[in-house]
Amino acid sequence: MGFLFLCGPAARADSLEEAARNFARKVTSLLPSHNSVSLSVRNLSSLNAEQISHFSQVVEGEIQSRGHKISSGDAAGVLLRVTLSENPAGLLAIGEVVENGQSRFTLEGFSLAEVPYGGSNSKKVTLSRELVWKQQDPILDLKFLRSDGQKKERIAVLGINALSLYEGQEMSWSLVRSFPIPRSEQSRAPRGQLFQLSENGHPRLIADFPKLICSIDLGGALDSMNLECNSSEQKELVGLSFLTAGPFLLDNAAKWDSSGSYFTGEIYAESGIRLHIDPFFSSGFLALKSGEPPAVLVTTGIDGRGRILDKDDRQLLSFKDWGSQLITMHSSCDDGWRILATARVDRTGSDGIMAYQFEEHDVIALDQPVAMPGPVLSLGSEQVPSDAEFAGHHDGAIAVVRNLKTGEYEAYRISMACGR
Amino acid sequence: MRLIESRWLAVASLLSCLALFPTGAQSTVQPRYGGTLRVELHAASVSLDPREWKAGTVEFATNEKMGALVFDRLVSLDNYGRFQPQLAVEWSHDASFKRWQFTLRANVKFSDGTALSAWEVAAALEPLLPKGQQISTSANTVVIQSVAGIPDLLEELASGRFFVYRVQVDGTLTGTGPFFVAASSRGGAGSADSATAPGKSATGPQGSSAAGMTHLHFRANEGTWSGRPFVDAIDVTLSVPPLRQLFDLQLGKADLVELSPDLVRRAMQENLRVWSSAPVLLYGLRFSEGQPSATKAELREAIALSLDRQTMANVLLQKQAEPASSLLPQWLSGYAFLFNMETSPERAKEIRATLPAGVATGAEPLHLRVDPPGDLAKLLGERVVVNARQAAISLQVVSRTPLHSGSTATASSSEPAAGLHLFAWHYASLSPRVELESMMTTLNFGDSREAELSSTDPEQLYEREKKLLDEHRILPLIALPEYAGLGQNVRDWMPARWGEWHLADVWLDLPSSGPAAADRADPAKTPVTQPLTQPMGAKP
Repeated sequence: MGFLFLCGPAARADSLEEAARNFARKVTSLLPSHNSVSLSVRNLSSLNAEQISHFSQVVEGEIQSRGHKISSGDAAGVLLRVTLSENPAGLLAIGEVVENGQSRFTLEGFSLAEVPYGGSNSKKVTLSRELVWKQQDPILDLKFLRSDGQKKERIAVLGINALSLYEGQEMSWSLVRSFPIPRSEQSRAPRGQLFQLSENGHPRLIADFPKLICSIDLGGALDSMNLECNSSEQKELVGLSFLTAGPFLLDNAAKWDSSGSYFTGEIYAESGIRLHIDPFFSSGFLALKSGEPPAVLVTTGIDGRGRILDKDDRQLLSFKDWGSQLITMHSSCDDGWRILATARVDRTGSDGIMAYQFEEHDVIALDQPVAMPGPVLSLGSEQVPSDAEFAGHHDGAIAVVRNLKTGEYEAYRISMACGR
Repeated sequence: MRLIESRWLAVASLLSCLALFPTGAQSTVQPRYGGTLRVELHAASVSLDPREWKAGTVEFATNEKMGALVFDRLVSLDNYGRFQPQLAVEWSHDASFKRWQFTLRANVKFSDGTALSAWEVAAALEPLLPKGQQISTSANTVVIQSVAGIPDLLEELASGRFFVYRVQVDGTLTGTGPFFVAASSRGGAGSADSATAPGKSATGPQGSSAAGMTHLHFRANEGTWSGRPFVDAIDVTLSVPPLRQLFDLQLGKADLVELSPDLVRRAMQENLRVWSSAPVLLYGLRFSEGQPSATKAELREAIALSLDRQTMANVLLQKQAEPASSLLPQWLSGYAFLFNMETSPERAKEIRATLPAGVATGAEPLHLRVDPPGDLAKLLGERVVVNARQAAISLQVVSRTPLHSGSTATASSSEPAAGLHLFAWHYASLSPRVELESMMTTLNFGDSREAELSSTDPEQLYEREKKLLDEHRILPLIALPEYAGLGQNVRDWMPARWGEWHLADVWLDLPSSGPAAADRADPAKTPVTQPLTQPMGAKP
């Protein structure tokens, strides 16, 4: 017995164009030969205006190619009403041919294939968003890898069950390697992040989860790359995650809580525990003045409060109504630091990202929030944070969003201009 | 500020001796673990045995909601129309859709810690599958075969009763789902008559049905393959009248309640959080051969034309329902908008005038039996009588002595024979074919030989439904959504539009300090294995 289809999540077939052609062929068989037809299209489905327009054009072209003339208004003797509808199984194209007051119907079910997104890397000069990648499976993190010595740009996409490397091709990304992640536990609010460490001069890409740490030697050939994972609590870094200042990896790490949904507030230095602060969801270091090392810590507490701690761990400021996610960003224009933070919505609401600046013992909102098409699930630097000198050219942030309209997971580049 | 990785060996060794500290955590947007979700239901009993559930009944929908806490399906359908792997991680079919193969997820365990096997999946689904579908196993796969093609098998398996369970020696059922039944009680919340600790045993309430129970207490299954749910427990109170549910929601005594349609407007005026599903409950009329006059096509057509569905939906139901022109709703079939039910008392009168004088007159009225319980069905029945009277058709509502509750209640022998029945039908399947077939079989309308629909082709389904409606043997009246009232602390409420609640994804945004919070954390006070004083947000 041969199986035609092997389906994982969300099996989809046909393109919209193919569906439109199939439907047009079917509906044309109901039309009287070589008659002029008045065509109207309405949408009861979740297809967008662009898709409806494309569908209509294909149907129209197909009808005309079969010898029918499309005319507008009542001049035509035959009316063709096309409705795009949907049910749990997919989309429906319904054609109603009205002739001499009598209606005949035809119905065609179809579903759509994934349309791969071709991202680009152009920089923006204002606080803005740009889609880099989207997929149906959850994205925990996405990073541009350091491009030293590589001709083509690469991104790493961290999912729940796989770490995938993609290479830039013209206007799209093509898969280079995908490494399954051996996870023994699932979480309903999974978290994970990517960073890079040097080991004996070899760059290693680290995928850090609350109870698991995996790494790949990026110095080797693609074919020989292996993902090594360890979940033993005795293994270094398991249960910890490095703190960052933009794309810089710092010599401090925070401890995940046992559920893996937040950090307990214990900050570790190389020699052991360094300080004990309020539990937080995300954090970032920044410098208050140009040229200073990034030693001021900003956190989003699990109590809904943002906090700023100076280099001596004293709380400089506490404020309300931030979301869970933040990142600090360094601007190459004025050598200053900014904070990007999400709004207060749960996973059912559309989020926004706001830029802030620390000034005169206060945090100032710099612009209107960038609206996102769903909740922001993670916010991190665009460049993979590294313990090596920062040499990349990606100084923005990456926000991972679940698009509430499509259900897809999308990674957006958030770019910010300086000098405001 | 750079880091040398090897130095972290020393740090890691410190971790195991550090304890979590309590926090004064308050609201946040990242999902948090902890707390007990308090749910109130109108139903007097709940059955956690999918084999017992009766298609089309309101009870089915309640049972399914509770069943989804305890059991998993092979696949699910997400809110974006995509099938998602559950207990099956891959599936495939042959070219004719007659043979489907499902590869099962590895390392899935029941809530008692024992492993799920392929033959247990087959044993669970075998009594649930329709006639003509056989299930077999091979290694870690199950195969479902049928003589006829079943292209909509995924829709079928992703909904309704198709849960995977294991029957225990004592007859109770256990599942792999995100929760397990820790206790059920008849009296107050504290008088649990059974309680089990997580990981030890995970059975349903006494027997597989919770008849007579007033409380069901579900606890989080720590080892579930799908990830531990956010709340520690769900406390379900049964037999709560609608108005009491509304008050409890207002007073913060409940987090999730069912809202009856007549209370929706009031709840909204009082700024309560109200959620509504797509229309999932159909009220309609069906003719039977209980009275000879009901077999006359002209009378059926006249009654059909007399019905004023707009008034029923907009006045009786205060715009909380939709006039129904089809058997299947638009969200399920995709083609329901093609149907249009004409209302014309004048035309109804004309047709009535062509009938013999003795048909459906005051001396010999057509008896209308209202099958579903409740005031709404009674009101609708009375409205139908009024509409028919305007067309000079005499209908009489006859009393009903229910032998059992539900929309398919049967009459006792002392009741007068009825030629017209008011029924309620709760949609259960995500397959339009399965739903229409189930409706035809259960409500006993249409040609029984045609009840088994062989095609999932929307065009053929449309033709089939059109034929049924054109015969006027069944007359849809109104379609109602389900309504729920939500507490202000309920977060990530992401139900399916067809009514599944997805309570494993819900979390509670609660303060954790103080004695009140400790009480709130587990109001049922059933035996637990973890202390209640653990910090909010900490997974036990």
